[in-house]
Amino acid sequence: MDASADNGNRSSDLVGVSKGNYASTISPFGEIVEASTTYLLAQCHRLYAAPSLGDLVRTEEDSTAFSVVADVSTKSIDPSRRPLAMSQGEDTVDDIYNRHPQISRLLSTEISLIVVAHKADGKLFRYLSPVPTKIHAQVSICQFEEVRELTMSLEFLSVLITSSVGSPDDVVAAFLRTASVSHPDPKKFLVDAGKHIAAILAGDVHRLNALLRRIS
Amino acid sequence: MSLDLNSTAAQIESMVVDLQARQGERVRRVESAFIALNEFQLDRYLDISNESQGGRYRIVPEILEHPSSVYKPDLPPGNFRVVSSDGSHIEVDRHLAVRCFLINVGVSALTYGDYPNATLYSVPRLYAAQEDLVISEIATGRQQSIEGAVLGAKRAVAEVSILAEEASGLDSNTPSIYLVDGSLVMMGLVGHGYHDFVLRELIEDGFIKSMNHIRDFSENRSFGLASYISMPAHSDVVNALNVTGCVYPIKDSNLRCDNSSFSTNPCEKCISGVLDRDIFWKLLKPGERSSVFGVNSPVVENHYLGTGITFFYVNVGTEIGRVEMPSWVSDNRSSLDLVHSLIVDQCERGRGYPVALMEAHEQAVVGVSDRRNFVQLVEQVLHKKGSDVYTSEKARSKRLRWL
Amino acid sequence: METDKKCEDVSNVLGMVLAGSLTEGVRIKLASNVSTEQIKVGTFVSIRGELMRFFGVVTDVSLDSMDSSLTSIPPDVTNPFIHEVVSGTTVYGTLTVEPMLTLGDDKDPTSSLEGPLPAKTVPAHFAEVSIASETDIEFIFGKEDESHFYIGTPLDMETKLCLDVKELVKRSNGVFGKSGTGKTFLTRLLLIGILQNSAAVNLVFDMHSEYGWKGSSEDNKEVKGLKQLFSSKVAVFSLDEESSRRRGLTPDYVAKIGYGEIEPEDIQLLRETMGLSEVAAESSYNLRQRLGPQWLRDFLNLKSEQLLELAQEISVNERALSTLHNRLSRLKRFDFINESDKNDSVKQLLHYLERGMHVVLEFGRYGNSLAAYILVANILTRRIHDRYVYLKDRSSVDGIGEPRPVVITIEEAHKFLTPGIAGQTIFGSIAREMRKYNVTLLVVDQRPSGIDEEVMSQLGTKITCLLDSERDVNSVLSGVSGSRKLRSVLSRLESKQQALAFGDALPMPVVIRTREYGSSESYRELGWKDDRELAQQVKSDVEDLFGPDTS
Ligand SMILES: Nc1ncnc2c1ncn2[C@@H]1O[C@H](COP(=O)(O)OP(=O)(O)O)[C@@H](O)[C@H]1O
Ligand SMILES: [Mg+2]
Repeated sequence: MDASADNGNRSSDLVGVSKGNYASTISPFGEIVEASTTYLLAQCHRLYAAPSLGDLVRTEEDSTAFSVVADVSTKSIDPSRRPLAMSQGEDTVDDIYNRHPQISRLLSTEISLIVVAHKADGKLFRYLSPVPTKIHAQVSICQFEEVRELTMSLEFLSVLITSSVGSPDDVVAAFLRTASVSHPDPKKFLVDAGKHIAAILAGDVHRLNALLRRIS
Repeated sequence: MSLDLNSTAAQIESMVVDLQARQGERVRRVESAFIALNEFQLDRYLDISNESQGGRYRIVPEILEHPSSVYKPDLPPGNFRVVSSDGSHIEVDRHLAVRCFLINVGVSALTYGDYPNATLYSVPRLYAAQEDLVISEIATGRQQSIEGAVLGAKRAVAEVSILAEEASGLDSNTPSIYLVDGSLVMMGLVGHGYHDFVLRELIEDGFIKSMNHIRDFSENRSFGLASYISMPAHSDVVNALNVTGCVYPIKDSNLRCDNSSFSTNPCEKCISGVLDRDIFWKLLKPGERSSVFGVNSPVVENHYLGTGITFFYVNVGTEIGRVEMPSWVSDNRSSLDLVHSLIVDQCERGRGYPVALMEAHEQAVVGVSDRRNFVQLVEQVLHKKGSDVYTSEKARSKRLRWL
Repeated sequence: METDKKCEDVSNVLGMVLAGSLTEGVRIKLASNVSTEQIKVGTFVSIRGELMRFFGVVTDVSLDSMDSSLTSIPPDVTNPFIHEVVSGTTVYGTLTVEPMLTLGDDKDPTSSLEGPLPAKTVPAHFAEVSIASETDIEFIFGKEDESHFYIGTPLDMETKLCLDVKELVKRSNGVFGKSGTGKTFLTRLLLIGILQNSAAVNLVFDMHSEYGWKGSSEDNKEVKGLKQLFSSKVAVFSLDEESSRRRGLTPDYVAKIGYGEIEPEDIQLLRETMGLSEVAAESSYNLRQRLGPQWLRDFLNLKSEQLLELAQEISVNERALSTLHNRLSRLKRFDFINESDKNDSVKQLLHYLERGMHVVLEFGRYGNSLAAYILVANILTRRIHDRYVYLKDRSSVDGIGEPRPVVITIEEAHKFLTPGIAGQTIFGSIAREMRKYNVTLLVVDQRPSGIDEEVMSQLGTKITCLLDSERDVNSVLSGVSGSRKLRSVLSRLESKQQALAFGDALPMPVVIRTREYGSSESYRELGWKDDRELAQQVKSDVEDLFGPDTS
């Protein structure tokens, strides 16, 4: 943990990453702390400075891996220490953090990522890289153009839908809603994506309904 | 810190009081002690304690003002810092052919006010080199291996020296206090026949040197250094009351009441078994501290290079805590008040215990699995280096791994 | 240009081949942006196979879903987004397409020069299906030219669909449909097609006087007849001069029939219409034998007591003979029948036909009499046929030119071609002998089930509008391959101006919307010029000959 990180303006920490909007500049927001070929766990550099559910992120090393934020959690770094309720009367959350500056050091925000694609030698492959990302690789939010390029084709959607991380339906819906904005015709993009999903979820009308309602 | 046998004994005694006497008896004694405190005659006490000045041990405190004095805390300043350290150690000599140990010192530096911040870290250090494992006197070639109470003292030194490092990096004028856990009096080294060079190395060249570093940095600043003892089992002040109040003759050797087994021979006025915190719990309202007392101890006398150790009791809301300081802190009224006010504030934030200390402790603790990992790591490294490190313990566990 | 075409292709994609067989048709999954409601049975589609292109017709449209539980738990289609997503994926439409023709390799243009071939296989899985383009239709049915006559448009298309007139006139053909469905309009168009193509000459027995000078449409508007449009190529004969004149026409020839031209066979044909018993009809042969060529005139002149005598003489039943006498006396009411034996109607007729003139015989008021129609049509056709047989035989012997093929149009054809008599009548023989003597029929009928099965099977091209009864449908489609699918198409035709056409003149069965007829626009399209245009034409012709008028 970066002990010397400035915590001077904690309220800006909370909005450290602009929510739902893909950044125009890449600056890593976190670091991989757990990795497999299909799943990554990243720790945010700053408490609560996490991308939104469904955001597309990239990890950069020899090759670029693309993954989708499937779950964001904030909890005590030490599993044996549980946060206790703190507020006294009319306290705001900020009051509590100001009164107990150590709290933000004892909590960490973690992001579960589902790997969907990778890029090697400048070529985009919409399937898993044969080797997992390395631990401590930096993670950053994908740029607008990258999101559009990746979502030109959606064959990797089934990976998100069948994943068991977080709430897959919300992840898929959030991912598509956010990605749609990068396309010239967002409505058409969503409909096409919906049709993809309908094919994958044939036989599960309830889930299909639920998922599509989240997208619309 | 190693076990403080003196306070342990007192605790056991108090436990005995709790167990043997009915609650009423205990309440009565605390009541008596409280009356004694209020009726305390400072002049008489100074006389008596001066009389016994020639004695070998002086375990009654130095009392400079009436012990029933009470001080309210100041409001903490708008911006301030609390820096704490705490340590833990792993000794791995039992299982390994090669002896070594690890001291892990946790540090927390908390900044409050307009720019709240927290820095938490730990500094682990492995002691494995031959010269790390012993304290030696070059002139005579005598050696003392670092283990047991010596290791405990070594850890206490490490705790203070890391605070000295923190203080040296200090560049702002923010009011700050430095806190360690436990007592500033290294009683653990007393009475075990350790040679002087051991005490010199650990206390004079270690503990006191680091404290003096901190003092040097603190000059002209709003500053304090203290240790905090939770649930103090001391009875220094009660002893002082005994000196002036007990009807039984005071044994010349240790100024102790002869009638310690009061259950068999109850004594109306006897206050033996009562702890300082019992009477100060009655005296102090939340936030208030007692007057400052001085520690009378041969260790301090002989090895603290003129730095006295003083203490006061403070009601932190949930308990009476004991705060010890070097005399250069308590001699400076503003430093004293800063320590008082910030400790009260820390305990308030920390549900009755200074937050900074708690966090330092959390950084310092080495969990069971970390402990195991550490031992394995050492084994691996040694094994790579070609030395056969398997101990009987290790061999047995290997065998047991069969299914 | 190139990109334009691409765009058009994309928007026309209907779906892809999923399953099927040649006998059952191939199943097409509709693309998600195409609704079943946009596709009608009978629509032409083109399928891009791996090696060749297929051309087919939609024969069925159905709804399907990937999951049968969808029908019990339908998706939440109240949400428009879900509705849009689900349609075409979870639920989708399917088409059944009958592959009809193959067009050779799409990429190799020379291979399609061979022209379409009947489909003998089905396209591979997932082949792309699109609505047939104008070029496809033109390529398959031919571009409008001398031998390809624009008869109508395919369903939901504006493309001109053409009949191969050369093929058409090689055999007898049929136009069917219940009353008011557009048979006459269709026939008129076919006649014009034949006329313009000059592959044959027409002889029309115009029972209701609708073809020659003018006809009428349902809303009682006049429509032009052949004579008005092609005056130089059409002659109108009339049986009822008065009626013709009343309608503003001076017939080219007023046709008369002499009693001497009526043969006992003609009487046979009238049996049903005149209510004659078999014995009675048969006795006409005896009369002919006994009384000679003027048998009918002489017979009708007999008094009733003389009949008894004659009956004994020729040993036929007296009562039968008197019934015959009785019934045939009605013919006296037909003014076009006279006692002269110098009528040259047949000669005139043949004369016109041989000159390449198309002849319409108007019946005028006699059109109301089936007997008159049957009698006249039968007599004239027999005489023409005899003549053609003679000419044809002579041409093969003498090596002179063959007689110009003639197409004889008859309405109420079942009266001539009922199963019982078709074997003996001249119409039966013409239908059966095909084009042996260069005479073919265009039968127009609302009750095809009344026509002899063998005759029906000899018809080269059939164009049928909506039919009333199952029996009529059966008789039209009997012996046609894929009749089951055609039946469903036929039964769904609109009640007017739509027809199912199949046979020799078409590479494949096709539903058409019959070409509009009756507007001045339609006449102009058929080559008609109004007076002003005509004047202009004359002027430019004159100028061509003599140079511009400089005076
Ligand atoms: N090709 C066509 N163009 C214009 N009107 C048509 C056409 N075909 C049919 N109709 C309309 O349908 C009506 C019936 O057609 P018609 O040919 O008289 O039927 P049928 O001869 O089968 O009884 C016509 O009067 C006309 O109004
Ligand atoms: Mg400690």
